[in-house]
Amino acid sequence: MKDLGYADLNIPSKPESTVKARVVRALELGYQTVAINTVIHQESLFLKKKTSDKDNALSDFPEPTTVTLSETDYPELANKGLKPTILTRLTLVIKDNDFLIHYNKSNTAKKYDLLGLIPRSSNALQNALKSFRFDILSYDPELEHFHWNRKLYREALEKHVSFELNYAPMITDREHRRKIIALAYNYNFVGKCKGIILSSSAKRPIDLRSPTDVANLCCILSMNECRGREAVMKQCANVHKAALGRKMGVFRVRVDRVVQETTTAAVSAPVTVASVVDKEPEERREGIEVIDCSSSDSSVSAEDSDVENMEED
Amino acid sequence: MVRRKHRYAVVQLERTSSIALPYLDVKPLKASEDDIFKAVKIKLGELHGDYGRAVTTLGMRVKYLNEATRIVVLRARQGEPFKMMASTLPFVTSIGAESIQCTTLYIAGTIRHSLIFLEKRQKRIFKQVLEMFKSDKGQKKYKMSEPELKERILQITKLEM
Repeated sequence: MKDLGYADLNIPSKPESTVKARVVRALELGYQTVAINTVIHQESLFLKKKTSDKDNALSDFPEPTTVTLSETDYPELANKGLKPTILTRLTLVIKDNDFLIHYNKSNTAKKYDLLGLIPRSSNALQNALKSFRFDILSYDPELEHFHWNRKLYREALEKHVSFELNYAPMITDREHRRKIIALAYNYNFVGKCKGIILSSSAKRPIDLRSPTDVANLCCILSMNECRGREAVMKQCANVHKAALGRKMGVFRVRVDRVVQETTTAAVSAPVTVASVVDKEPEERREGIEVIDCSSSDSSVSAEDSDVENMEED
Repeated sequence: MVRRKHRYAVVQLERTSSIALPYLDVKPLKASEDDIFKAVKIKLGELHGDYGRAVTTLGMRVKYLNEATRIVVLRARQGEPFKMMASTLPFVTSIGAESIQCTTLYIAGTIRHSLIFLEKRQKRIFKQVLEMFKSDKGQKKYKMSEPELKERILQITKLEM
């Protein structure tokens, strides 16, 4: 796993002319990872039954936006010899589970790296948690609050979901500021602020702030200093990990010691998956077996993806 | 007597009009220490209320201000007062008549360390700016004639003279 450094996982793609300016400004301020976000509402997807908005409706998800950068755009990172990582993210605003019909059909929706969700009611969230797997749970300050309780929070945490709070609406508007502070207080009461990430949803390059400043916002958002610093760095790396695990599907990996039957002294060579699989069947091999459970086995439960086993390699 | 501890925050103020442009911003700030102090106090009152304002402004002071490089060193008492002040700095968007953005560069425990950090940073940036004065062939040419120097400065900073 690459070290991602400071990360800002929400830069909206909508004012399309300023996307590159915002990314360059974020890299200048000290971030190393950036994710470009496209937001799609459930009502704008095309349904055959509703003929009212036929012209405006989308038939398929849009392609992920890409940004080309040269070395002059990130001079501070280039001096250290590092390269920025740019991810793509899709956020869905949902009311009920009908969006799954479109999501499972389309191929462009699976090209995005991260997946976020904005539920409009607690029922929608509960239904989505049963059958759908996503990475980030976000909040739009223009929509209404819904009721959180400890059970819902813990259910979401178990499915490897992180909770997102945006700070750019706090800077521009006073009403939004109150709503986001209230939500952060709620998260503290309900779940001790576990698994929270902080990101901007900045529509202008002026609204971005440096990572130390964002970590200092923990005082207002009723978090510890520890959690404030984690929210910008460590938890974002966890989100990336969970997203990779979701894309890979269900795998089972077994690690064993390789014993080569040769006359010379047995030296255990460094084991790689490819080297074991390619060997002839005459040699006695107890090597690494990789079993892809997503295609064949129906006996395997589809709940866990053993990402932790993989990471211990 | 127990020692009173403080924290010093080194903050850079950037103009919002010159953020997206690649040119150097050379115009000095037209603000005094009082203006900056007031702007931060007002935001503290909005965000943390009477308690926040009372607790932080007790030991708060502007210790160093350089209008040409737009750098400020703010002091506050260690612990809750400093946390409150640091959390309101991202929200300060205007000082006087200019719209401005604050970025914290460094947090120090003594004034001496904050000034040591500043010295290292200014030396690093000075080297970077000197590289902009290369001649067209790519050689580093620091001894230029007067009209050449004027032209190069106008190119880099886009001042209107």
